[in-house]
Amino acid sequence: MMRRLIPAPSPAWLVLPALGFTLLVFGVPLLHLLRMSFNTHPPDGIYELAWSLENYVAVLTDPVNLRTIRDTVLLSLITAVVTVVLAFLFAHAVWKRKGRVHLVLLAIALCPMLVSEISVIIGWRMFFPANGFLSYALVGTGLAEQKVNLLGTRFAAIVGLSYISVSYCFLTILSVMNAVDRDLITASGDLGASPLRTFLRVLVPLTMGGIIGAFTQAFVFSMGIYAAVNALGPDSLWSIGYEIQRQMLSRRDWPLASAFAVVLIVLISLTVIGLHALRNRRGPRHD
Amino acid sequence: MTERVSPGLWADRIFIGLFAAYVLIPLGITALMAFSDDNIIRFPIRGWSLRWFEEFFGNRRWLTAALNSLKIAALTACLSILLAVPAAYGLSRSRKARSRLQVLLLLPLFVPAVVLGVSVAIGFGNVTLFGHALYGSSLLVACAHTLWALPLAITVLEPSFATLDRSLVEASGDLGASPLRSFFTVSLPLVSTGLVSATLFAFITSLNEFIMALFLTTRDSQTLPVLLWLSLRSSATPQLAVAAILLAASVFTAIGLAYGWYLLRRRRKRLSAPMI
Repeated sequence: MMRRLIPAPSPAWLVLPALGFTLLVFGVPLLHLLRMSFNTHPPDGIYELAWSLENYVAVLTDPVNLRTIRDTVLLSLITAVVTVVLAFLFAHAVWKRKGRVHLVLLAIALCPMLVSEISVIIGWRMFFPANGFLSYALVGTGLAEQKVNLLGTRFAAIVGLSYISVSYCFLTILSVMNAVDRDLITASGDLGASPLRTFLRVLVPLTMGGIIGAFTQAFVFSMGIYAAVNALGPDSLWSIGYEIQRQMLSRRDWPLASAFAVVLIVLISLTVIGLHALRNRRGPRHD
Repeated sequence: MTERVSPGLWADRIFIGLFAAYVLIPLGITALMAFSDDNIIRFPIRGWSLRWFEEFFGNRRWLTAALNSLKIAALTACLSILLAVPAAYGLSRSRKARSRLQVLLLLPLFVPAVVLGVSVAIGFGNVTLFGHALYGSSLLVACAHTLWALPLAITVLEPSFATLDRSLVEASGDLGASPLRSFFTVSLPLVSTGLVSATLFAFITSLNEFIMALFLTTRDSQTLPVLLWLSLRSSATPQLAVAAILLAASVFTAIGLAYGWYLLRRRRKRLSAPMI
């Protein structure tokens, strides 16, 4: 019974190891990254200790770098819209169905989450080129007279990018949809609204929080993913992530790579904060 | 009611078909190409053989990469579970600390792999541990992967602990078990489904990840996805398809094993349940 007299350690204390790990492996390196972004890059080395803003000036004023940033944001925006629309429509289809069909469709929707980005890239690289499956199928069925090449196009890049985030968007939207009162949909129909009208005027507004959440996810993911863009998109399409890899691994310019990484984090944070505020502002109106 | 299928429903069915095709195309094509007899990747496939599988299993570099992948994934899973179990338990027991701490722990999930890879490479690039350089070691890659695997594991585990029947734990305490003993013999078995799922998530996350690994591995510690990425343009043979399909197969095998365990446990539970 002695044991009873010793107070049990506060449960919050148990979070410390995980917190310590995150601070050590995530927080400390981020500070190193921030520090590195102010260093300079000598022609015959990797970096020289300094407090200079030249890397940020280069990232934010050089026309080539500005184009890289603009292309990345634009591609991520388009991808996020496409992915959210796909995820929403499929989540709706899954939500409407029950039993075995529901489970099979659910499994299909979660598949992309389990496939490595590299396998996604390899798969689409066998689908899109002139010697690929798509071209073969189109010529074989007579839909096209000559071989078709879609590898190296923005379309291919968006297909690959959206594949990577579609499962996460789907889950976010489905969880919000599951909370929707199905009687509201029935009521809308009973009052004479067409299915399309019910969909647009009832279901979409009710799930807006999930849509914004999914959009945030898809946008943030796409901003950071560069392998798929690089391997499927046109050579002229550069992304911030690819620029970081190039500066870090090929050009050995660590300070510039760090400045790019910091700019990427800032862009992502601003988006997340902005969309989160939008989501919260919308919220109360429906409560 | 009429039997006529409305145009809306047809549009719905066509969309489902297209979406399913979209999801299954990359995997399906890779699986086909892995059995091609050709020297290059092209359609139509002119002959079938297992030669690229033989080539894969006879190639030291690919095999080492595959083993490295499994090693790092196992390490990541262990590390994540060791940290996630106390954290999830602590979070589920203290409502006050939860929201803020959880946001902090989830933060790395929102940071792109390329940024994590570069920061860890810069931060730990010249650190040595017990005389071994940390850079290029499996441990450092596993630590980086844990940044993503840990928040996932905590997210999976926390609800399991939160919905745990507290009276069972209290009963074991009243019967004289120490808090530690009741944790290991009562709480943990009750959340075993969450535990297996969390391990699985961590393992798969690490197995599939390759951008962080690209920045943190040397030629000797390369993982399978890294080697695939590096050979993407240099060697466009069906070998790539074989490696990609083996990677996907190991993910689905891990899921299958976990699901098998779950079915077995459920059946055993049903058999041992008292019949009334």
